[in-house]
Amino acid sequence: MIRNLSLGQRIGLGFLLIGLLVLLASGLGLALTGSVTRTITATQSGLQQFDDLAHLERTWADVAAVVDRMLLTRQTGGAIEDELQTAVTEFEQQLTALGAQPVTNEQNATTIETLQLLGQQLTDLVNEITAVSRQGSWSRAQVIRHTEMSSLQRRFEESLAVYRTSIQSSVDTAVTESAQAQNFLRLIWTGTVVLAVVVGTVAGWWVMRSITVPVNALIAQTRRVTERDFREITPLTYQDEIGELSRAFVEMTNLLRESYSELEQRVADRTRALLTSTQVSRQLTTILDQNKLIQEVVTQINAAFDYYHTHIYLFDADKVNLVMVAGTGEAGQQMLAQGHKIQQGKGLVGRAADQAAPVLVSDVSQAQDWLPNPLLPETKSETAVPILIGEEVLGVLDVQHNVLNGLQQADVDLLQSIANQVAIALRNARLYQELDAQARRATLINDINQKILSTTDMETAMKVAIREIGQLTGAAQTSIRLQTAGGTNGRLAAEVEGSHE
Amino acid sequence: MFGKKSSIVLGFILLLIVLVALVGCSITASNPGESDTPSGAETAVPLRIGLLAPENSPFFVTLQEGAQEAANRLNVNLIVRDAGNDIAKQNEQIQEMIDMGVNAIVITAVDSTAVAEKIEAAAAAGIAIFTVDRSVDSNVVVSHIASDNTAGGKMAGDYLAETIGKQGSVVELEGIAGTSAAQDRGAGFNQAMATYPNITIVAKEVANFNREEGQTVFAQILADQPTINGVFAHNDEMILGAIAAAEEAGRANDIIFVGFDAVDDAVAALETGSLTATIAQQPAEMGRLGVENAVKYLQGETIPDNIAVDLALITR
Repeated sequence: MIRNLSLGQRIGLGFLLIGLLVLLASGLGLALTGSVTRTITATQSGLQQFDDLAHLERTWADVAAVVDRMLLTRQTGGAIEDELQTAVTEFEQQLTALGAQPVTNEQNATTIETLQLLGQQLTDLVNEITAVSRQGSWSRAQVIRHTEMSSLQRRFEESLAVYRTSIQSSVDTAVTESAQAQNFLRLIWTGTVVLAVVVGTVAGWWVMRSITVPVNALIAQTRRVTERDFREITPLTYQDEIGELSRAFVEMTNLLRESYSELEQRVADRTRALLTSTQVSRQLTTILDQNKLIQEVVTQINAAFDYYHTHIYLFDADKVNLVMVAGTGEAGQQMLAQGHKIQQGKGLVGRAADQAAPVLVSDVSQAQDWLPNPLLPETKSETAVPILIGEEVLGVLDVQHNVLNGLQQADVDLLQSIANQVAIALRNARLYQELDAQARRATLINDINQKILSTTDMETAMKVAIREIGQLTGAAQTSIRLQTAGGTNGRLAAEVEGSHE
Repeated sequence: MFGKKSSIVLGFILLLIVLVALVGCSITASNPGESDTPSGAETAVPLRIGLLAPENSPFFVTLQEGAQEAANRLNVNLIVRDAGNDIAKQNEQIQEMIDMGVNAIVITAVDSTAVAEKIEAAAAAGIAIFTVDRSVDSNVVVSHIASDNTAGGKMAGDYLAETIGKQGSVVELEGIAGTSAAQDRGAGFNQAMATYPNITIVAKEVANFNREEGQTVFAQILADQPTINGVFAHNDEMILGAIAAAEEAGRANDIIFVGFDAVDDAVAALETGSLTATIAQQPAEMGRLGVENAVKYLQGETIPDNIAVDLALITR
């Protein structure tokens, strides 16, 4: 049961136990005090009653003494009878007082009744003795004194003895019970202390164990995780805070494991991306044909990162429209065939070109200027990265993903770096083409010069020149006009008809 | 949630244990003697006690009155018989008590030895035997209740000696020979007399506790003894007889008479002056003590073998 209690409850239970033991001990103390108080009360009451009885006995003795003196001195009436009356009255008062006291048991009540009866008989007898004495029957008075009154006295004393015994027994009982109570309480007290020590030790050990064992188990689990052992952890089955902590720890470990593996995945992805980027760059440097280059870029990017779709737009000669020049998949082929183009400033691609900055839309449904393409229905996220040479925008690299949030800033950064290299490669390709054309022209001119130089006359030289230039330029008609100095109209010095065919 | 509930329950159980323990303590401490109050207070069926007197003389009538008073007080059914000084009759009466199945017999034997056999039969029948005034020669008697007759005899002797001036001639009238009363009173009287060297016991005659016999015996002694200063009789009947004889002889005024028992006639004689002193027994008290002790014994109390009843000197 204790296993199911929380640590707080266990500690609370400990305090409760201590409290109860304190309560028990103090309760026993109170009970003991009560028992002692009762004993004292009983003893005091007993002493008081003993006192009362002694007083009663003395007043009886007073009565007897006066009667004896009366009989001895043979006097009646006057002083002696007053004295006798006083003694009798006091005796009766004592007797009444005794009867007025609260009676503790039936036996005492009977005894008091008997005493009162005997007291009444004594009064009667004293009256009789007085009467007999007045008549001068002193002998009879003596007989009454020594028979009837003695008998009364005996019975009176017997009753007193019974009463005293009863009182003594009450006191003895109270004392005995007090002693018993004390012994009992001593036993209980000792038991309580032993119990407190034993239970306290065992419970303390148990509670300590119930805390240290799971804590150690938890520490072992924590160590495992700190050593990057992310294998599945079984949560501890405790119902208490430690159990809760363990479950939280397991959850935390699960999260840690997930994010760790995600991190690893991302590092792998990034490595792959960098690798791809490097690869693309390396390949780009070797491709001088612009169209081939562009197509290669989209194909490789799409394959390397497993995007849904990748394509590249380049500005047309007028820098008005962005014309799609390469695209992946069937959608790409179709769009190429359709001559797909986007006006500057339109859509994500237009915006990227306009702003000369990448545009990322992780969720296309949230972007207002996003242009849906019926050929690419699965697009969920899209990014458009400008292809820049310095400030000049050559075109836009556009990547689409069919996963919501499938494209992140990391993709943008990567794509931007690829786009930059594409830009350089594009420029290289264009420069190459220009240089190639210039070289070819120089060669032709050189050839023509050679041919012209090989002629011997002006006429031939001009004819060769016209033919060669006509061939070189592909013009339908090539002619040389000579202008004389000062003449207004040039005279056709030589006219050579030439054709390119 | 379970743990919390269970810890509350546990707490309550512990609290309950403590409370029960405390209450238990205070109950044991505060209700003393509840278990030891005497149960069957009074026996429902009244005890039956037979009171067997030897005769119906005033002494025994008074004794019987005292016994009756105690019997009434203690709710005892008292059956009274007197034997008219007839041993055979007293034995019959003992048998009657056995037949009735009384609880106890309180007896004053006509003769201490003659009734012993019957008394033992009664004791064998489960009847508690108490003797009053006169003992019975048997060890079945629970208790013997009597005046201290020896002390009484000595008291009477001392008073007589003082009154006659510790010198002179005295006469002793003895009771029925063989009765403890006569023996003890005589012994006490003679013990006292032995301390007065100037007093001579001139005559010692048996008059069987009887007034007429006392008169007859003392008349003879008067005739025999010219000087008699005092007379002690073992009972008032005999001394009253002696007074009558002395009065007849005209010598009553010369003699100090001391009796025993303080019966009414003796008290009257004290008041007229013919008797000088008597020793007051307490016959009523003896009767009471007989019945009271029989009841106590039957209720299981221990009774002493001998219960002495005080005596007192009653003077003129």
